[in-house]
Amino acid sequence: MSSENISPHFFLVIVMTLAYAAAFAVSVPAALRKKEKLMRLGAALMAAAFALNTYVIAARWIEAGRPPFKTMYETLLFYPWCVSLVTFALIYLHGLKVLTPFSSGVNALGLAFALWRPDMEIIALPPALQSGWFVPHVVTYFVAYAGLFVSFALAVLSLAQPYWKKRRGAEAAEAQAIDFEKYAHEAAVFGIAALTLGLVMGAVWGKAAWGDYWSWDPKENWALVSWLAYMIYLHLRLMGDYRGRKAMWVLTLAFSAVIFTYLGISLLPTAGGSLHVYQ
Amino acid sequence: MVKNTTTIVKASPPQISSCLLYIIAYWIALLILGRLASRPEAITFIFSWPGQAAAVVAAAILGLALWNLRRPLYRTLASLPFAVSMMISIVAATAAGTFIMQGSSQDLAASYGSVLTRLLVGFGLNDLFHALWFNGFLLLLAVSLLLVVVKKKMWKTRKWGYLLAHLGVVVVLVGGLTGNVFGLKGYMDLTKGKTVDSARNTNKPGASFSLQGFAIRLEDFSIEHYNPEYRLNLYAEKGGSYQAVKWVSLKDAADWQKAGAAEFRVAKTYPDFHLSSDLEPAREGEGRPAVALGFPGADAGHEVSLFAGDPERSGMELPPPGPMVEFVWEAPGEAELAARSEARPETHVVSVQETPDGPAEDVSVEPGGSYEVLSGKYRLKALAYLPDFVYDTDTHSPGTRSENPNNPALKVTLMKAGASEGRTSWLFAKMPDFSMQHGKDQAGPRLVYTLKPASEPVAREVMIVGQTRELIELDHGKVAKRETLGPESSGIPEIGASSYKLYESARESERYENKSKEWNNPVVEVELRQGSTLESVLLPASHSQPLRLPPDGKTILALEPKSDEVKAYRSTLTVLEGGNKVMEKTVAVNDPLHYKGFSFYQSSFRKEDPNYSGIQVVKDPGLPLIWAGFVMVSGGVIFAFYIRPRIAKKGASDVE
Repeated sequence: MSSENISPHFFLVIVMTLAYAAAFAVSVPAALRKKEKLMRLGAALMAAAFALNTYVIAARWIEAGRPPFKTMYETLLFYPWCVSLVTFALIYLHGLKVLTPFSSGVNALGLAFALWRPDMEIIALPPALQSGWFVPHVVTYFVAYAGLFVSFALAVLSLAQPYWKKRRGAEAAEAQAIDFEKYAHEAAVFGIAALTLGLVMGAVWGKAAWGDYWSWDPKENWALVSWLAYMIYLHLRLMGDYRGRKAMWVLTLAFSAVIFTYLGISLLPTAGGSLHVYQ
Repeated sequence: MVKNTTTIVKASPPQISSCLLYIIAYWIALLILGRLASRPEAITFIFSWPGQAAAVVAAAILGLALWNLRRPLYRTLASLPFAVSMMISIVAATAAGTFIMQGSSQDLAASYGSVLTRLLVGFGLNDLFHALWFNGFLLLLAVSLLLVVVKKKMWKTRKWGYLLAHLGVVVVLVGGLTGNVFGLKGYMDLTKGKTVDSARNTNKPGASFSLQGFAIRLEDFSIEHYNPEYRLNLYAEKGGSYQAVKWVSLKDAADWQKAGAAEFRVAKTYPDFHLSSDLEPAREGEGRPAVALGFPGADAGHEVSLFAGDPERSGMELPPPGPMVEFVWEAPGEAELAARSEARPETHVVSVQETPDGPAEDVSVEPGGSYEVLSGKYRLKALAYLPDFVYDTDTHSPGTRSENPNNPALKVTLMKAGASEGRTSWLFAKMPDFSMQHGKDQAGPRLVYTLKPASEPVAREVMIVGQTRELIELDHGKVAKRETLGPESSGIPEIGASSYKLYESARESERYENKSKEWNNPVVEVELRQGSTLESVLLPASHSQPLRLPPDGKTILALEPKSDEVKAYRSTLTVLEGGNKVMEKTVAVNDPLHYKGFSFYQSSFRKEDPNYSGIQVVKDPGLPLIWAGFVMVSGGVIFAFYIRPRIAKKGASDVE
């Protein structure tokens, strides 16, 4: 409600946003020009931002006296953390440093959105959210969303690969070596598994809290749409002529359902009756 | 050659586009079926003689058609393109159900108009998730899932993950269907002490169902709030409306805070404010005749002070069957006594005091009236009266919450004789020190407002006459008893007082106190500073009375809770069987009660009724299937993607 009151960690959120933005600014030219050292700097900046991000979430947790996953602002602080985590995991596992510009970029964007409308008021948890399912359900979903974002980024990379190769020719020999499609699929499968668990946990929690495991609430419906969108991807891939580029387009498209589920529900005419809309 | 071609045609899977067309045809067929089923004459026709025959014939034709088409049907339904098409259709339908308002045609007509509403209802999009066609889609999905399990021979060991995931979805769908058909869902409106053995049926408006042999009683209900955390909110007027500027915690407000040209700080906080007063003798003209009555009771008992001539403080009502008690100083005449048996209208009295030590002049006023006060030096105009004053922070205008005099407020203007303008303020009977100033001129006589509420004719009344130390008992205006009071220590047995003390002139010395540490009636003492002027005002949180800050009153300060959000609400329920208590449990959100297949969920409360508890009742025999299906789907996905590949790898390396 206030424009003059700010939270003590607000300054750190600004610093962290700038750190992600700097990681983005450094890693984009690094990726385009294949500058290995610059890329390492970008990843290091993102790691610094991630450390700050961890601190900010912990501080908010202590300040609020409850898990900081209640308001849109709080989830906008948590989502970048998950995206960074999944990105670092893929850098560690497969050396996919090329993800740095995507992940730091989306993190800076999300945080800029959070800063544009800072809603730092600490809202107490309503009775329905006081449940053992609160943390696992939200964390699983956000990890899923992070995995699916990374899968989206890799799908975009795989779609861009031929043009990139054409433009850069033999110079980009190294880029040819990376099978983005394979990794996009791997990340998607991880996201889908987490999405399935999140959906199921939500239903179990809904039963305990409201007596209904499913109530066709707009958020639930869009969670189902997202899940089915990725199921469509999995099945289309099995059809011979949908493997490859077509499947990558489907993967890109499916992520739009995730974005809408996360950010778009309040825009729906049916959102008024939803129990899930961020305040 | 010919034979060869047919084999090829047979083997090629259908296209997604043709599958989508089949699904659209299925949708239209289900829409028509749904429309027919909703018509009572269609139902009667089916059960009449030609109808039965027609139904049998239709079923036979349909069955024959399905049998003859079994091969292409199986090939289509168990195919990947069909699975994808089915999922696309369900995605499209589910998304549509979130973009289109859901509800009855009357609800929809308000937002979409009659033409569009008829169209939406016609295509079954208004109550989409409960429509026959949508459930038909889910059924077809389940059939397709089962057929694909057969076609792909998913029972083979290496396909177990896929088998679990596919069958899991079928099990969830069957569980959902079981719940819809055999389950019950209802609502119980409970009040403390009430026993209920049935519930309103949520799915069938107007109907209810029985709890099948037991009853539920609400023993206790409680609502727990979060700590309200009062703080000072600052609003600024911008173009007629007020906007939140900032808030200051009470802790921070102990230091001076800037608000435009003015500064404020909280000198003292009273979480549970109470105005306590003691009687002390006063010089003639500085007080009123008074009596302090001592009543026995717990601890040291309690004391009540009555002031002669003060319309609000001169009398008291003893609990029934006790009489009214009235304190007067001079002995009343016969006519005055007789008038006491008549009904008395509501009277507004404004006490005007020119100097803090000077005498007070009481003026009875009527809203709309104009009165000369202080020997003609001033004119007092009573402008408006609100019985239950509330300052609406949304519209930023005063209003009344009810017709009951819970927070009586009188708007008055006090002007010097002959002047055309004066000081306008709201006077509050319950807050004599608080007045909302509108004019700049805040100096001048002090105004205190009292409301003497309307009273019914008094049947029995006891009058205490101070000057003559007499007691007069009245019965319907007639003197029933008149005697001299005993010594002060012997009290007044007629009214149950154990002691009394008379004062010819006394006044109350007021003290601000905290009744408790709970935030029951928070009031802060605010100091306002502008230039060299310093003033101290009481700002209560009750009734949202804000404080206008100098110099222009365009900034207001309000003591408001950060939130009055509910932390928890709990119902203690007992299960009664044949009148005997068999179970007791306190249910809360996320913590239901289960008994004999029924589950009771804490669902709602009512702010205005602390004894009410809304409980959702669910009986869902499909639930075990739902849980099993969930485990199968989650386990299947994880097994297929993460466990099976590892086993396969290990197996492969073992072979190597």
